[in-house]
Amino acid sequence: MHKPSGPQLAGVLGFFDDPESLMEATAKVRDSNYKHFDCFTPFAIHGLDAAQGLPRSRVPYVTGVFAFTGTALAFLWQYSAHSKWWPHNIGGKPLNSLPAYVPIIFELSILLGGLATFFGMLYFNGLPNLTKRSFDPSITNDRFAILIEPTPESVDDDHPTPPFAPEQAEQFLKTLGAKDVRKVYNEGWFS
Amino acid sequence: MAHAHAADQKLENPGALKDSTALTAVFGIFIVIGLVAFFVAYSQDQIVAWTAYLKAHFFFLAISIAALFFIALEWVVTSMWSAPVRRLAEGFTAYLPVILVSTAILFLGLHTLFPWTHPEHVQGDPVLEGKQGYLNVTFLIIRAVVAVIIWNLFQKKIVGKSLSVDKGADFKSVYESNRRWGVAFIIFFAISFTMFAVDQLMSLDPHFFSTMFGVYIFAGAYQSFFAALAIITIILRRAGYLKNLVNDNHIHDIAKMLFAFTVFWAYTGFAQYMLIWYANMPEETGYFILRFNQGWEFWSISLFCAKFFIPFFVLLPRGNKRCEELVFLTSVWVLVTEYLDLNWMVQPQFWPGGPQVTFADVGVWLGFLGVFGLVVTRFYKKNDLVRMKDPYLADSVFHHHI
Repeated sequence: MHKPSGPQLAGVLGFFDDPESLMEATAKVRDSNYKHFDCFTPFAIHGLDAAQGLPRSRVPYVTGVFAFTGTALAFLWQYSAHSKWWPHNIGGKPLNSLPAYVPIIFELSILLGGLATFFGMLYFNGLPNLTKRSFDPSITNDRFAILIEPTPESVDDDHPTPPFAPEQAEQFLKTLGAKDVRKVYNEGWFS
Repeated sequence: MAHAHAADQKLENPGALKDSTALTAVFGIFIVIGLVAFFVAYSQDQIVAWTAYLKAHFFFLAISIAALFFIALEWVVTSMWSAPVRRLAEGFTAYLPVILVSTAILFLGLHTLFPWTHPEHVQGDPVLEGKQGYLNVTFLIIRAVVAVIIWNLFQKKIVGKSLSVDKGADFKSVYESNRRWGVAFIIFFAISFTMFAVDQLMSLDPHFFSTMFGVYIFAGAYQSFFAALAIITIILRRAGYLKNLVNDNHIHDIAKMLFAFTVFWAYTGFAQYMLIWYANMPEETGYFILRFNQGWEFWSISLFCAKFFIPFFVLLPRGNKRCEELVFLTSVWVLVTEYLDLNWMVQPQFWPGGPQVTFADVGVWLGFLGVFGLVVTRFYKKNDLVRMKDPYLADSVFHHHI
């Protein structure tokens, strides 16, 4: 596949003035044939993830797996250090004393769980993103936008995806009441 | 948007609880069972009777005073989520006047339960002689009675104001007043409830002291309060009272609090244990040596697993916290373990060889449940089950949940 020369089409962007009309339009895009779209808002809007039809975040599972890994690692490490590698008599306690391990088991579970949450969040959000910049400064200020993205070309030859028609998408967004509908292009930080 | 839906749906007032002779009769039978169990046990072995009494007395005392703490806290923080279930929690505080009676009856058993009430036990023991300024019967009775009376005054003030909203009182002035009284109550509660824990549970072993003890008892009390709140909410919802007011989001919220205080209980319990285990001071370790020997070691470890690990893992996944049946079962389980926790604090002082299962324990607990049930249902019958004029109610019913 050739990389098209010139700026790459990111999709079609349409603006809305308030969160309510954005929510209504988003639910209609979700129910349409456009499967790749995104919303841009200056602040978090409750219920927008449901309007977008987004599934539940997978971050909690990452947190869980890493937290319990931390639990196991902390126990194994302390058990090995205290009873195998460097046995010391401390205060007459048995070499393998679980109560003494618990604070470190707890801390390492929290540490790994917390770090995994942070990096898992970055991963699932596709961050850091060096190939895209904000399409319009107003979406970080006072306006709300929907971006309909081109569907990636299908590898399945029997059911080829119809090529993305930006004009149709523009028309569709206009029927939903979007303003300033226009094509936008990817602008990388380093390109 | 949450507000958009609020306008479409009308919130129906569930009204007060309907009279049910069957329910009253069941609670009446429980009280009779409790009285019979207590007096039969009393005629055979006073220690069995009074330990059963102490455990059941403290179990319901803790739930009801933790409910008042919850209400005060919700006023202070201007909570929104709890709006449809706050009246149910206010119902639990209707038990507070009964605490005055049950504490007074407990005074009759002081001599049986508390070794420091025996002069011959105290004399010649420098530690206990030094504690006499605090641990003496007169002072104990005065401070307990004063504390319970002040609890009742706070309950009259805070819950009374909340009920006046139903009759048309201005919500804003009620809020301003209850926020102040709530702050005052929380401060008084911290001191007085610690005092109750120290006087009625910790002094069973007069040599033992732990600065963590009050927090530990509070953690268990608040955990069991949320379990009780979940149970009553789910029962009333199933009975059709709270249909469009309490939804899965509220069950989820209560389950989250139950989960949080399950963790907090484990934290306080372990913090108390670990520091005493590490420091190895003779006055303190006696308490745990007793509980990690002979028949009690199994129960100590089981208690930690039953009261922490099981509710922790059951309530960890999001879906489970939104499943009414699971939350109900977990709540019942938490209440059972709260009783086992009290049993673990009381019984080893009298039976160092292992737990003593007696019919008196079950019977007296049922008796207290009967009184608690009667008082609380009486409150629910007199007042609407939800404070319908709460301006936060609509927000709470339609609040968005992640």
